[in-house]
Amino acid sequence: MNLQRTADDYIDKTGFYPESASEAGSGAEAGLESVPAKDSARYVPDAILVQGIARQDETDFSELYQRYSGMLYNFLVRLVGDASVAEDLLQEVFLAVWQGAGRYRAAAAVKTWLFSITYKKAVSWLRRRRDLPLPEIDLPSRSESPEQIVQNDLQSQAVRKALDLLSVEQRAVVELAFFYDLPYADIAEILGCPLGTVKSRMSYARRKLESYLQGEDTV
Amino acid sequence: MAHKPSPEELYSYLPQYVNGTLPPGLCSDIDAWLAEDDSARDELAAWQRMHQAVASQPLETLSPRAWAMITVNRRSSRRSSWSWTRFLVGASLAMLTLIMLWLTLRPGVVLQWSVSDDSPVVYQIYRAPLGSQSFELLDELDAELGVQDYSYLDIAQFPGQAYIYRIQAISPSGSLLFTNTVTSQPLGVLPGQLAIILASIAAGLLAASALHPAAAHQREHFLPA
Repeated sequence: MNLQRTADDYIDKTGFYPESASEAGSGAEAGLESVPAKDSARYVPDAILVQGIARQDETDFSELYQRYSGMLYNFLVRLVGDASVAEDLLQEVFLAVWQGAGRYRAAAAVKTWLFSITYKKAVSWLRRRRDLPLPEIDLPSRSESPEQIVQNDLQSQAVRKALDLLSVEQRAVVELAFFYDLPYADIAEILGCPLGTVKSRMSYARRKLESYLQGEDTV
Repeated sequence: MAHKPSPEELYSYLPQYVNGTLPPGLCSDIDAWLAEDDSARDELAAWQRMHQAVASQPLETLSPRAWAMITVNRRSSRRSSWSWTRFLVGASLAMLTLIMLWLTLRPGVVLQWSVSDDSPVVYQIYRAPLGSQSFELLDELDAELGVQDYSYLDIAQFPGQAYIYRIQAISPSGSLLFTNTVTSQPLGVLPGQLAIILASIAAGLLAASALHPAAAHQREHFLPA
């Protein structure tokens, strides 16, 4: 299993853009190749972008989309299990951002606010589609050796199947904590639940994953 | 004295320790706990395995079509909000124009009557819709010394509605001296009323079209890479 993360993976998943231009070097300190924003001298914090969007600034809207569309899209794919549905929901998310930017209050970070909107869209869609089975996710083509691909695919498929067994609430906690590496406090805010609920969902998800991967659980 | 986490709390902090979001103070507590507890290290390893498994999921690539669709939907939503604004502005201006033109041009029925003497009487003007006997008093005019010709303009008419007018002369003692009745023809005043109404609508449409988004400057924007 290839656990190495490239700089692009890190940036896509975490939206690694420093909150200020002065922090642009922290990626190098972490051992990752630092990829600056397109114009680091004029880097605009997320909250300022949202203010611009509230004034119907299309440039700020485009910038925010560039920063977060990838991570929010992948979050949606994991929750709803369908890439095309995730793309449609992503459109709804950013349309909600465009229309609701004027109501954003800086009490929460912009990333938290975006994930919160995204999660609610996914849950709303899943509730409407409760009775339909989730389709399989198609993996992109990779360049490993055939043996490595088989081994990695088996493990990846097992992990994916195990994750698909989780409820959307548990899956969201797991993804936010271990794919996007968000603090529990932010996760609680995104999901709109207490901190204790986040912890319990995480524990339950781990037990379910372990029991499935050990062959004790069946689909 | 700082709160020392219980074992249950330490266990609950492990996922955050693994994903690097635990505060430094609690990290120190976890480090000390791991150094002396084998089961804690086993628990940590289990969380690390889970973290690795989740973090190794492949990334999906977002189609550029998504941004194009967002742009289309965003402009549609802005057009719809623009439409409501334009409608309200146009309707308000049309109403204001209607009121101002109506009060200025005063389209209506003119009643004229002549008397042979200038007795001190009061002329009462009544009106009822054609076909109804419910007369309402519109106004009272005092007779003027030396004046024999009188007129009264009624502009509060519903377009297309015919009315019966009754003019009564009342003596100072309250007795009815004479009464006269006349029926108005709606077609006579309708063109003037319609002209004012159409002019008001035109003013409202002009104001609404001036707010059309095509009249505003649009900035060039680029698709994200």
